[in-house]
Amino acid sequence: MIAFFMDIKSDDDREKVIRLYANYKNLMYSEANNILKDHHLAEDAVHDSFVKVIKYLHKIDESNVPRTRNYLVIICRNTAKDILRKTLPLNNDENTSDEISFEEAGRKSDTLDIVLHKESVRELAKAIEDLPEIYRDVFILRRVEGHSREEIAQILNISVEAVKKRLTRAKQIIIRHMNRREIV
Amino acid sequence: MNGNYSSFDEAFDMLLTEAAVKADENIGMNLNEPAEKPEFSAEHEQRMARLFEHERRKLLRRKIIKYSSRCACVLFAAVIVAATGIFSVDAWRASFLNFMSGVQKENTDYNFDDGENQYYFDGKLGIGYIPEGFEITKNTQIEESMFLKFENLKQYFDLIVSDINGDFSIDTEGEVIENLDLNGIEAIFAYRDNIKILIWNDNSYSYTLYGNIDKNELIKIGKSVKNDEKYQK
Repeated sequence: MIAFFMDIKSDDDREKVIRLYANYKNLMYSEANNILKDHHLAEDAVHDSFVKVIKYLHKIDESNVPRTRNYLVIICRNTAKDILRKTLPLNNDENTSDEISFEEAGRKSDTLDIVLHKESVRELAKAIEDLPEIYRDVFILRRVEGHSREEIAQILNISVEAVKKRLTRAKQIIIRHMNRREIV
Repeated sequence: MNGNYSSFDEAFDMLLTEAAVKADENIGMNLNEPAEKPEFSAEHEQRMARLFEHERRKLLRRKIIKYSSRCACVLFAAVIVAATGIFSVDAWRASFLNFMSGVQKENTDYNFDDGENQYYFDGKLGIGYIPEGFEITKNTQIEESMFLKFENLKQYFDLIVSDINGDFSIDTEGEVIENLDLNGIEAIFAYRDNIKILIWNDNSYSYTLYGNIDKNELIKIGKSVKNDEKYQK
């Protein structure tokens, strides 16, 4: 009976959020300011990012600093882009130069040779790092952080369809990258 | 995953995930803190403090709801156990229902059958033995007098309880009369046609018990009548 009541964990989520803010606010602000070029908007981006961070706090492993850092930067960068979109409505995400057409991304390739090559993981990691941010962020949120497509859509303030498209294109770009590097 | 998803595609997918973790860490390691520390405005810091406070209150609300839900579950379980216990014991059940319905003031009566013996109790008067199959069909109280009628399909017996100072008389012409002992009290038994009558008093009330039931049954009922105390089986 006592265990029934003692099962409530001592929740220190609030302290965790405060620590994350203290440790990463400068980095997040810098990332947001690079995009927005405005101090107050960059502050807004940091604030709005933490509203999202609080929602997915359970996914953040503070002990893994590089991963936490990148996760917060992804959220902040996309929040900043979202604010920029709202202030400059014609700056449509779909028309940025980062966008690669479906045709340019290449057709589906045989993955067998990639799988068989012993250097594949290292090269794949490089290919992922070289992805345009627009695809890389979605790819990492899905593959590394384990967010669902719906959650990614909420975090990045885009449609679920857009998330699906970007994931597909990210994979195709990676395969094209691997083929061009003559790994196979 | 569609039907054409080959095992090599699956292996590639696993590699991709592994590589994504590696890429994520590489990217994170290469992210540099800004050379210049930004200066956040007081307004921004206040907004962040409010956000964290709101989170604390949200957590507290969640905790309260969690604890309340668990307390409610425990309370519900306790009520079920208590109710099962109370209603499984006849005396407790009677007491509980009497309490809930105010039987002591309103003359409500409960007649339980424990499989061995039916009885009547209304908070003041108790009849410890009611023959099987009989049910109370009338219950009238006028000032200090009480009239109870019990019936089955073919038989009945009535009990009249009156203040001992009141007058009561019966016509005994043609009746067989005998004196009986009823729990140490002298009682008169009379019998005419098919009607048996038992009369006695306990120095507070006078009792008249009559009906077309068997003499021994009538006497058994008479002996089980108790007044001014909680009925004890």
